Amino acid sequence: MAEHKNITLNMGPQHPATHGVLRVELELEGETVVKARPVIGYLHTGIEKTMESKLYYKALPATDRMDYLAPMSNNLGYCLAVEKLMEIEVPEKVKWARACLAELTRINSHLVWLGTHVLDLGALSPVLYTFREREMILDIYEACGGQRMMTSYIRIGGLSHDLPVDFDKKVRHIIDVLPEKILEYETLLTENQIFINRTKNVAVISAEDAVNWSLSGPMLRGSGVKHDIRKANPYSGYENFDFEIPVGENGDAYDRYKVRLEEMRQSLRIARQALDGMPEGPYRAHVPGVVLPPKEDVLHKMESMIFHFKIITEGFKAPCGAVYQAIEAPKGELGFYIAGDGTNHPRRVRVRPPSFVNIACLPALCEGGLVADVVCAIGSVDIVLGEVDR
Amino acid sequence: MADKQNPETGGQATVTLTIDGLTVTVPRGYTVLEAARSIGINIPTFCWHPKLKPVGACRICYVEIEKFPKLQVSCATVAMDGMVVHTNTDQVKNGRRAVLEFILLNHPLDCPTCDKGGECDLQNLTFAHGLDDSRFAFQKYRFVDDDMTTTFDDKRIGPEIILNRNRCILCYKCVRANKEAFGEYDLGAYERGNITEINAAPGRQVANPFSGNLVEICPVGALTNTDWRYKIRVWLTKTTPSICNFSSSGTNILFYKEDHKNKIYRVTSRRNDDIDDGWLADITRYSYQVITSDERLIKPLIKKEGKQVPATWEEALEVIKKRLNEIKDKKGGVCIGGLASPSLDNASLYSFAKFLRRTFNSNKLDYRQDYRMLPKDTANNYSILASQPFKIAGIDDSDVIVTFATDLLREHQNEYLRVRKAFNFKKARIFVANPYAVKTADVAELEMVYKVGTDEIFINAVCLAALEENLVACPDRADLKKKIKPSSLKDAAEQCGVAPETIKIMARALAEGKKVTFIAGELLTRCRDREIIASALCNLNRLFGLNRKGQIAVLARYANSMGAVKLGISPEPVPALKKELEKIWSGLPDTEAYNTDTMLVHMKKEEINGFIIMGANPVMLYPDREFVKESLEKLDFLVVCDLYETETTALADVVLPLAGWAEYAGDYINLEGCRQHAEQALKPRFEAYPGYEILEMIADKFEKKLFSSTEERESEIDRLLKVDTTLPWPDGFVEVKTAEIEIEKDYPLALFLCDDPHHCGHLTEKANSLVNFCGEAYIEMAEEQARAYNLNEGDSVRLESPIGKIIVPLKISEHLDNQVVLVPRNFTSHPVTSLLMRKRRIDWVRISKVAE
Amino acid sequence: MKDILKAIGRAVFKTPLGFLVTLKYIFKKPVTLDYPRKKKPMAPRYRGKHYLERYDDGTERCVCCGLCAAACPADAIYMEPEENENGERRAKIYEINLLRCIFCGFCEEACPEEAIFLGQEYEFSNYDRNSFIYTKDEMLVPHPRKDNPFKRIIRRVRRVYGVEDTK
Repeated sequence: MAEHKNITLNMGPQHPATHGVLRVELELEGETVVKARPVIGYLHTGIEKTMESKLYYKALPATDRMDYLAPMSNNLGYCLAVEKLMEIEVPEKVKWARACLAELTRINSHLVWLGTHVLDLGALSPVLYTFREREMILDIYEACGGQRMMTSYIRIGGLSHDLPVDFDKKVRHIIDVLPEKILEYETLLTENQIFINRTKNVAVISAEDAVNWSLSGPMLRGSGVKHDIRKANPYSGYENFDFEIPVGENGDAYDRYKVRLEEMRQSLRIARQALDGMPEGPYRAHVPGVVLPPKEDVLHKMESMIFHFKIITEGFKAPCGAVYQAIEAPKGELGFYIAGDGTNHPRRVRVRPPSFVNIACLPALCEGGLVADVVCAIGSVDIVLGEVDR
Repeated sequence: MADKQNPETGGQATVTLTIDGLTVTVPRGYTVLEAARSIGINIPTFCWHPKLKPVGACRICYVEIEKFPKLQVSCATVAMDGMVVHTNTDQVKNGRRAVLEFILLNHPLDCPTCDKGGECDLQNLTFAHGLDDSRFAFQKYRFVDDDMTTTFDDKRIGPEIILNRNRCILCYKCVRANKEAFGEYDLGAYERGNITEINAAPGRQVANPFSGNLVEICPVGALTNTDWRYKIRVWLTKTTPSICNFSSSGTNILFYKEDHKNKIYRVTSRRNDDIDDGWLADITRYSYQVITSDERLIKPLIKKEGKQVPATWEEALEVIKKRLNEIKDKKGGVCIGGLASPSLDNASLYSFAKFLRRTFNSNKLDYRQDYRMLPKDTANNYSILASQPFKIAGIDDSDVIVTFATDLLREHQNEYLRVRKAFNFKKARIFVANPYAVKTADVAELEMVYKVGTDEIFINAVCLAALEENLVACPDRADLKKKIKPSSLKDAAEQCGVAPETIKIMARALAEGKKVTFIAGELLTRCRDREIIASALCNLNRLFGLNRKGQIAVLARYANSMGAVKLGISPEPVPALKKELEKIWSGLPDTEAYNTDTMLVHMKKEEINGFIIMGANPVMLYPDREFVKESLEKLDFLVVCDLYETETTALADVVLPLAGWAEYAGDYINLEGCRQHAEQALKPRFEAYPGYEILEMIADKFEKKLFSSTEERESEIDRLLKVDTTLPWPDGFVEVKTAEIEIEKDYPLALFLCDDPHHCGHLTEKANSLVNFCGEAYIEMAEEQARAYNLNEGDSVRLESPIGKIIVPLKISEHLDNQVVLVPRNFTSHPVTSLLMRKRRIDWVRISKVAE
Repeated sequence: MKDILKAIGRAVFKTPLGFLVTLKYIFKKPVTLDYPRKKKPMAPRYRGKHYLERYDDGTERCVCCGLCAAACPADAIYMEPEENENGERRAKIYEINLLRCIFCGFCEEACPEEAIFLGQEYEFSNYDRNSFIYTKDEMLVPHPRKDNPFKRIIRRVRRVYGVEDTK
């Protein structure tokens, strides 16, 4: 009998199911995965270092490009961190608007995840539907900040522009329409035997392991750990909203799917509350020397002109000290650690990206499983390589 | 304690006060602002300037002083014992905010178009202390004139200054600096109240030699430079600390440069209280354009069949090697000499000397390109005088200052400002003695214009006055009368044309002065009989003991003249230096040493055949242009390194492009012997190389490396600079000879060659800004004189000497009052050196009107 | 055994429900557009290709103050000012490298003269890299302009002395 020899298989970095340029080194014994090692770094763009070399306000567009499926969340995380460092209190309206946008972003991210994940598993239709719904959210992004993906809409101290006039209408349209659509996805998938076969008991991780791997977001909640930063450590006015934290039981890919779908519904709930309760007020905090004065003033008042000029050219100086601000991004805990040194650019920016931490448990998800399930495992983790590699 | 008593105030010499909870003790007379700054508490200011008297115009420097009912302006409040000052209370903050609001009331929204944007004090202080919102929304006051240069309300008020009165916050810093520091009155404040404006004096231009400073100290963009106008934003530039190459004080400057374009955009001061007080002369400020000009030499040139053609460095070096070797083989290395510019850095000068002395065993080298009949060694009284220690800051606290045979404004602008400062702030007594009237006399107690050619007699007269009035206690004073002629004050005074009473006042001041600064300058150095005058000065020094109670020196003229002396670039270095050089090189050549003049004479005799000139332009600057030209033409082989094609490079067989001082890092020694480092701001432009690299390359061709490493070169220079080159004063009084003064019949006027206040040497003509101030030679003479010849300002005048003539426009001087005419030597178009005779003490000329 | 029955049940009864969903869309109008024949209108704030605005009288707004270049996180803007024949500050060179540009709109936000705006145009592919460096001439809107500007302009004339118009 010929000697057994494990096959080493290179999956990626150009594999369509790796959602970018993730490379997984698989060691196979027949169909079974003996060892899986995620290799990252193919999309490393030095975003953290780029941010360190730029003024605080100029580092913002770099965050868009990390998790490009959830740009508003990244903006929000960074801005909250800098606001914490600068001890800026933003107006109430900004908080509510940000929460609303962050929840839309969550839906956006989950829609893409859903479409692509099930596409990997062989279901061709949902991707068309989810992208159709995602368009509505992108239209809102465009109306707000002017860009469909790299929004840079949430700014230090507020928003770049006021919310567009038809913001309320558009979001309410989504809130009205989307539950139906989610139901459609469920009809297509939840009870679909093929989908269940591909996901149930696949890529399982126990609650204990999930905590030990310091997973976060749906990865953690899918395993039954009821942890959500929005509840545990509310930011940007989340303490005002009434919502549930969906959790799974088995910690398999199917549970994570269920959790994410339910999260979308909860997000709609939050968005509705945010719209209903959104107070009137300015869209930017009035913090002289940090937040740009309104353009009308800049064009008519000398003082505002000077502040505008100085903030643009020199930025603002942050105090010495470090802050860490985490938010519940669609993919999990997105944290920004920013160390200021009294100058106008951060001394250190460190991002705790959820995808990066979550993808680390890929070996635990895949090993012992079939090679075909690796695709499911990667998909169910929901990674964005822009964020993993930064 | 007696020594702590201040005689003026009668009380303690210091006061102790509390500022923001910190106790500080400062000298009496300090303001609260200065006291706060001394312990690092920063109080914002607009109108305050460390080198000007306080005026309290802007009121941004508000502080709260306990027991004072209102906020006080700290810049004008004198610190008192026991004061309790708060600089950061809410009341102070509100006060500052209100002041800023008030200042910005009529300030146009000009930041986007204003060149000051990004470095503007008003912006910075508003950003730091003001509000970002305005309560006022009404039309701002706008100054509109008929002669507005632009639709942006700018107005050109000087060759290099543009005024925008709308932006002005009326801190009066410019007017005050102009008046207090520079003694100029071409800028003033007019009208009152809301419409007060700063403007040039009616019908005049702000063109004084320090006008650039007005722009630099302007806290807003009201005064801007045309030089920097709409070129680049300040945040895109980087700064490099450097040293001025056109002043012997080594004024500290900052280059603003942009690396990608390899270009310098402007120069600002880098305040050094020991040297420049933060004021720059315009020469210093604009001379960087010499480097950035596109007329620079691009490639080496080699003369082929009588024409200079561009060549590569390799070709040029090969030619140098071949031709110099030919001369060396045929006639010996001693037939090769060299002349280096005293504006080069230490490394280049030292490499130059080492190259000539070691490779060719030649002692024929010099650094002085514009002085006639120089001494070649140092055993003379002039060298003693020139080697004396001098401190620029020492002028400040002198109570008696004498400037003798020097026109400070044209030669030593930095010291000129110091003298004014001593007068304005310390009430020093200033005496000005010169063969023609000078601007320094504004502040002088007495101005003594002695007759042309009687410099030593004037000094003798001062000595005699001291003797006759019995003012001094010098033990061997009786000897003096034997050594000088004439021996009575009356005769001497009559000969030099100064009233004896005047001389007596000066002698008394010299005798009574607690600290005396005695400055002699170019008119002495350039004079053929410098030795005689120096002897007289040695006697003066001995008689009054000046060097013990102050300082007496002949000021060096060029950026590194002092370095050249201290590194032994002269044909016969100081003995102590010679000894050290012998040690470093293990042996010095013992061949005959020639100075510039002797070298030129021997060239003419074809005894010197090969010559290297580095950065110098003797054809333009050496007295008797024809003589220099003929001499250089006789050479078999001439190598000239310079930044530009000059009159001298035109005669060269090989021309090498030399890098400008901003293009390499180098050390310079200023006139007080202080070694200063200039950093490299640019990469050398085109194919230029710094002097030391050129010499190294040439030396490599001769297979005699100059230095094994840069460190070796630097350590050799360090060793040399440690040598004390101060020469001892002569024992006893010295004999003052009688000078023979030639009189030319029919040539009634004495011509003095000078530098224009906006120019120095032969290169500044390439700086556009300086040319805007003065772009053409002129003949300056007294109004009376001009009237006698029926001449008006601007008329073309034929200026003739026995050996040549030039035609120059007339400029009527406000100062000159005797039979003296001045012509600047900085312009190629008017070769004034062609009028001079090499061996003359006085250059007699005559003038006539050129018919239209 | 129970699981298998359950699975069979789902396969027979539940899974085909999905087909009804997909079937439904056969009878609906497509949501896609026939690009490039038809184009979606962009939001007014859309950040597309830059253009340089003029005052109503046709003079350039841009004074080359450099704030856009200072605000640009990608260093995509290069400018050199000059003095024009009226002594005014104007851009001699104003270039945006669209390959560097990240279309963040900071330049628009920074501009204190309301000169630069990011327009509606998003189709600017080209055949060589140099064509992506947009010069001032390419960016300046024609005068008189044919269409209305998309972005709101607050100041219609240059006004540096307060409320009143000054020119």
